Amino acid sequence: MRRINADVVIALLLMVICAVFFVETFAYQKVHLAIIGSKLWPRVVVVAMFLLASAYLVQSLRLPSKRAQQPWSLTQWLRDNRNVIGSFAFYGLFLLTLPYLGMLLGGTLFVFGALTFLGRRTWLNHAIHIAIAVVSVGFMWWVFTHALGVVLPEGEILPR
Amino acid sequence: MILEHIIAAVEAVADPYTLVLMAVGVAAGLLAGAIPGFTITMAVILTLPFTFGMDAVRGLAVMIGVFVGGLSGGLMAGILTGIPGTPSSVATTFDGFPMARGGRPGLALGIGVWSSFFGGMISACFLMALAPSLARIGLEFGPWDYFSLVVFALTITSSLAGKNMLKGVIAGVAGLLIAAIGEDETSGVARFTFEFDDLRQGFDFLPVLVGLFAFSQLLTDLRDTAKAQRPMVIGQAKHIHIEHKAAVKAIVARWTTLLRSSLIGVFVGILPGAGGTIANILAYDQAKKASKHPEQFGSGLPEGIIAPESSNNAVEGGALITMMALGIPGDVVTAVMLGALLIHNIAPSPTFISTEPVLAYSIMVSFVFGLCIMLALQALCLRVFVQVTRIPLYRLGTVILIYCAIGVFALNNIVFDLWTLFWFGLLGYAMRRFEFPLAPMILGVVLGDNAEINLIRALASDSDLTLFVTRPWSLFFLTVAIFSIAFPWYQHARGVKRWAVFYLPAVPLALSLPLFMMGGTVRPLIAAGLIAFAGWLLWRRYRSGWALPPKQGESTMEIRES
Repeated sequence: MRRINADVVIALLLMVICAVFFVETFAYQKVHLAIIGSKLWPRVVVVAMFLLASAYLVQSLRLPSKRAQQPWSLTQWLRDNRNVIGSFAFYGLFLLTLPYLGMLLGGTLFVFGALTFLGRRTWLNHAIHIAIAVVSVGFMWWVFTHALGVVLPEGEILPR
Repeated sequence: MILEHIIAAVEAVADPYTLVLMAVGVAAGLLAGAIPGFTITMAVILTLPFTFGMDAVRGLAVMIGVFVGGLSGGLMAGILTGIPGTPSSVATTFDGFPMARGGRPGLALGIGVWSSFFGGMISACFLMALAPSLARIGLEFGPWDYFSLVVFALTITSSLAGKNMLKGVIAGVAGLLIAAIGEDETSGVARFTFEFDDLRQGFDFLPVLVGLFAFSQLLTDLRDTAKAQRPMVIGQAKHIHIEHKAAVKAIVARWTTLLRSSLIGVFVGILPGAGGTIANILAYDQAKKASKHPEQFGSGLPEGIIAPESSNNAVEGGALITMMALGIPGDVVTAVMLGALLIHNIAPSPTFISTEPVLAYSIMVSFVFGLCIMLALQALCLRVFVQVTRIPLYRLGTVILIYCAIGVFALNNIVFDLWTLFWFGLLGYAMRRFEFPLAPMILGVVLGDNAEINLIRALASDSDLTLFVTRPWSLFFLTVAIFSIAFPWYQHARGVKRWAVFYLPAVPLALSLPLFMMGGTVRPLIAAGLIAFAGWLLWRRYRSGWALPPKQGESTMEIRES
């Protein structure tokens, strides 16, 4: 039996997504005056996507990818993607805390946190990271708020 | 009439404040293009939020400035360090770096800068001459033809993904699916919202674009800890004096290379989805083939710098032709510009040039102004480039990540857009890891509404599906789409399978049919010319015993992917 590789998993995932999206089209509200319903285009796209995903599945089963020949290890994967996972986690945390911290404070903490996570941990670097975080976010916040007139989230901690 | 519009456009762009902003944009583009890992697309995308508060002319002028600067900036890193700043300057390093290493970095940079300038100028002439004519042709299009044009744009973009063509098509269709999420514009019916109220408004174009392209690119660059902590460029780039006079002399003496490469750039730019990445390799390849001393290429020949640099700058003129005349973006950068126009409630279509002449000609004029500013700023930016590249990548990358967030928020002032950025950043990263091309998805998102509206219009006016193949323009686009889908197979089959011998002759032969159907005098004549060309190709194959040698060396697509 062929080993299941990433391409097969992606193809199957795409097919499941297509099925879910296709079922969703039955829940659309009916508009009686429309000559052509709102369902047509989504269904055309979903069916096209399903057919392509099926072809991708067949192709993936016939031509096993290079990735399949290497044993997959969660530890190695986490190690390889440490920076990416960390950056996404910091960004996610920044978004979750945005209503409380606001863009200025939250953004500064995000930049400092991400820089400290990605860079070397020395006292000099920490000082540089604090300076970069404060200056860059402060400057951008000033440009958008005062020069471009964009109201950025203020949060609940800093006084208005 | 045209002259009046051009004068009005010059007046609009020559406003001092606009020129200052353009200069800032060109400088930013030069630096972004020069820094390996930061693409021109990313620079243009990140400029977009700054343009929200500007009027359409000023906003687009700044974005064009960034783009022109970015195209030229790539050559600085390529020539001085051997690492191309952008994929569109890959071929520049082949001869630029050896020339710089051989003791003439000033001449190499000069040739690069002036070739970029001349290439851009030649394409600007084509832009001004061709865009209005193409727009007139576009007026002949009905909804069937437009729908087929979108299909063609998506298939050709996907086919440029080379061996990953199927993944390219999937990405394109996924883009259409993303565009379909939210309320239907005509009936107001909520689609694919899964009862999430936030999804009713659909995904805004900018967060999707920034997430897919910029966010995922930054995270890909930051993946390797050692690489992220190093300065971006480790080299001996010092203060160098650009040899302008010698460079211009060298280019003028090789004007055929300049012209040929610029034409290649314009042609590649007109094709939806193709861009500077392909043009620079293609032009370099053609310059090498046309040279009397092809074996000397790679040792520091001026032709090896002129060809890629003039072609990658000429691409933008070509891409703007399709965007302005037909509303179809020629590459991701023009897709961003299309998005910028939509933010200002302007939708490019064949009537764009006639209904918004000042804006249309302002785009062309900005392109010319941007090239002149680029020329003036190159020497200054070279010094800044040396300083900027000493910064470790993770510091710049993290600051840009937060900038992406602030810029995206500024679009609609809603936090939902920041989450869109997050999820599409994840999606973009996953797509890069699993080798799904991003350009078709972007095009799918941009053209999704266009495709749907035209399909609905076509079916509402006549339910006869055969109109898609009986209307000449629709048939023309579908024919090209079919051949573009088959192109990767042809590349594999060349020299191996018998049918590959007939692929190229079949293209002009098939295209002659819709041209004959269009009637008139010129188009049937072109069709007859195409048939003659197909006959000549067949005759050549017959003479060589129906054999076609396999493609030698590295193909354009393979280089593009690497």
